[in-house]
Amino acid sequence: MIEVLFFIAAAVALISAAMTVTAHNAVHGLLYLVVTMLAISLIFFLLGSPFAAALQVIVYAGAIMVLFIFVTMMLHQGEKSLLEEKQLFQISGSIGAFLLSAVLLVELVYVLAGFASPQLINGSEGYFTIQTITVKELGIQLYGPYQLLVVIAAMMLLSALISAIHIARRQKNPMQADEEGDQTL
Amino acid sequence: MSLHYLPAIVLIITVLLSLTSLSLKRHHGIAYLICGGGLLLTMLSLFMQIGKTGTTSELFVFDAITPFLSLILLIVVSMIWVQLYQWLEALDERKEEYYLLLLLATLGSLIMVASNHFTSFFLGLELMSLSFVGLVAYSGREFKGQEAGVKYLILSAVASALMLMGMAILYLQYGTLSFNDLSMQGASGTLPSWVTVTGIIFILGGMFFKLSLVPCHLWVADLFEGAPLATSALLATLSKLAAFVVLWRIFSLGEWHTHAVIVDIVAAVAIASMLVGNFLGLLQNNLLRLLAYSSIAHFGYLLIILLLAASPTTAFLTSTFSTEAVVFYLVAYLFTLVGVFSVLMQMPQIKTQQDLTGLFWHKPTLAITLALLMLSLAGIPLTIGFMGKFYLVMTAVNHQMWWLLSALVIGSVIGLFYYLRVIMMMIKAPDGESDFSGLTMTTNGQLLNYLIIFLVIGFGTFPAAFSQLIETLSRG
Repeated sequence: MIEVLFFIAAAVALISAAMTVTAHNAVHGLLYLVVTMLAISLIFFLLGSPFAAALQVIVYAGAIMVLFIFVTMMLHQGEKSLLEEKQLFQISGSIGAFLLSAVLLVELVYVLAGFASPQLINGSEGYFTIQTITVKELGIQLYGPYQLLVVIAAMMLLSALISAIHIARRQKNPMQADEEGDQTL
Repeated sequence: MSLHYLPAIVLIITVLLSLTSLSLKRHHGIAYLICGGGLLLTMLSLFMQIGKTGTTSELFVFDAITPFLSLILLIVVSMIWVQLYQWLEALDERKEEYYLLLLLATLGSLIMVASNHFTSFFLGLELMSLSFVGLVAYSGREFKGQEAGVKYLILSAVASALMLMGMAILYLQYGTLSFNDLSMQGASGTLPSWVTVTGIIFILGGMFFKLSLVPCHLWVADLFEGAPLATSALLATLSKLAAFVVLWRIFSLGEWHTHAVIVDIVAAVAIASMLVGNFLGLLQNNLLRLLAYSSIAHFGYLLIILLLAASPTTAFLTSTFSTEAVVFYLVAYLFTLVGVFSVLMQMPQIKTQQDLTGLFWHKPTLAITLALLMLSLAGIPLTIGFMGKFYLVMTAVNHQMWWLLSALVIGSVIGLFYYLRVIMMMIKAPDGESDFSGLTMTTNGQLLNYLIIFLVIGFGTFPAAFSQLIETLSRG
């Protein structure tokens, strides 16, 4: 049973990823991207990693997506985008994303209601159980054999931060300097 | 924590110190000195490890070769650092962040060179690539630099995605991410061998991006031209060396040469890189683009080494000979290339070959240094580049790889044309149009030129001492 659920969730992830790439409107594309993240999170959950699933929802579908949508909506692209924004919240544009996430919701309810035991998988050598990875085991790994990776990841984030700040704060383009000069005059 | 982690710890402390001093007070000189002191201490701590017994942990491997390669990397970075002060002073941009990003990129490459696990390799790679994005886009008002930064960001993300996919497939097959377990043939036993081959192809694809080998070489010329000079130098040396060392380690540990498809792919890529790289360089007028194309060809030559393990070792050669060849070739190429870039950094206004016309009659030291380096890149005897190529050809002959060898010879002959053209330009009689009055020679630059001449000619004429050192290291 769990394999069927997995294939449905994987299909939802693939379809919504394809819709993300082909979407004409950036906000619609992001909406489908959220669905992709949710589908991947459900896959994590089905395969016995509830912590990764929760992180996927909180970090990707939650925080990062909200930032994306904020930035996309704040970038004004002229009169044309205003016209487009009027049509943005019509139900026809987002019905696909709603349907796909409804499929995911049904699956989740189905598992949580106990119709399918998430521990049992039909492998090529008969049924076997999935070991659920707890937060404690993850923490022991991160503070045990992989502790140096945490340090390296910290340095990586630092370098990304410095690069991003350095590129973003540059406002000395000759063109932009002219515009600023005009505004002060 | 053993002594082996000391270099990385010193580098991290330098980064944090530099960051703290930056947030208190911006001062270019202080940042320059902190960076230099950190590099020096790191080199010292690496120097202490050479010849010591190595250890292997889950994430990192410290055998005899690793500290030596790391030391070479640090020497290359320091040679660039020497000229960084003057070069950054001329740049209309905040200066201090460059040192931070430089140190972080160095840290990333050290992690990659010592990595023994896919996670440490990947995090090191990302640390290096993310720092390089900042370094590439570090060009003040120039539009080209920003374009190059975006190109590098997107392409390195694509390469990382390919590699992650490959790692995931290999994990599916082996159930572990450690390089040591790669040689177990199909631990899970349920997947056919083409799955492994697919995973390997994904990883190779990402690596070919990083090494700018032929199907994935299109970005490298734009990047070398658009990025600031010091960054191009780092990109050509630091990033490529680290990527190649990791590729070489995975290739030999995983015994990938047992898959016939993989051998064919690598051989085809090697031959294509040699020929395409040299042909693109043939009529190239821009010096930086010329260097980019020549680096494509040089890493094509180096790919031959990956395939050497495929043939049985002959009685004439020891089993460590291919290790020696790799290390010697890498060192020779790195020193030559960093020399070329440091000469170019001493004359920032020179961009094309026409600009070089008559340089010899105005600045003989610079011109002679550049000429020697060009000869070394072409592989003319009495330079270190010749010795590197000699090692390579010797190993290839012994393994009877005639196709690759003939491509190497043809590529070298084509390459000779454009390397010699640069020298021809420099010794032409000055036409009065080119103006070298803006070139000011600094003591730093002069000393560095003499050091480069010493390294290139000294090791080229008397390679014995150096090759013996490498031999003892690779045996140890």
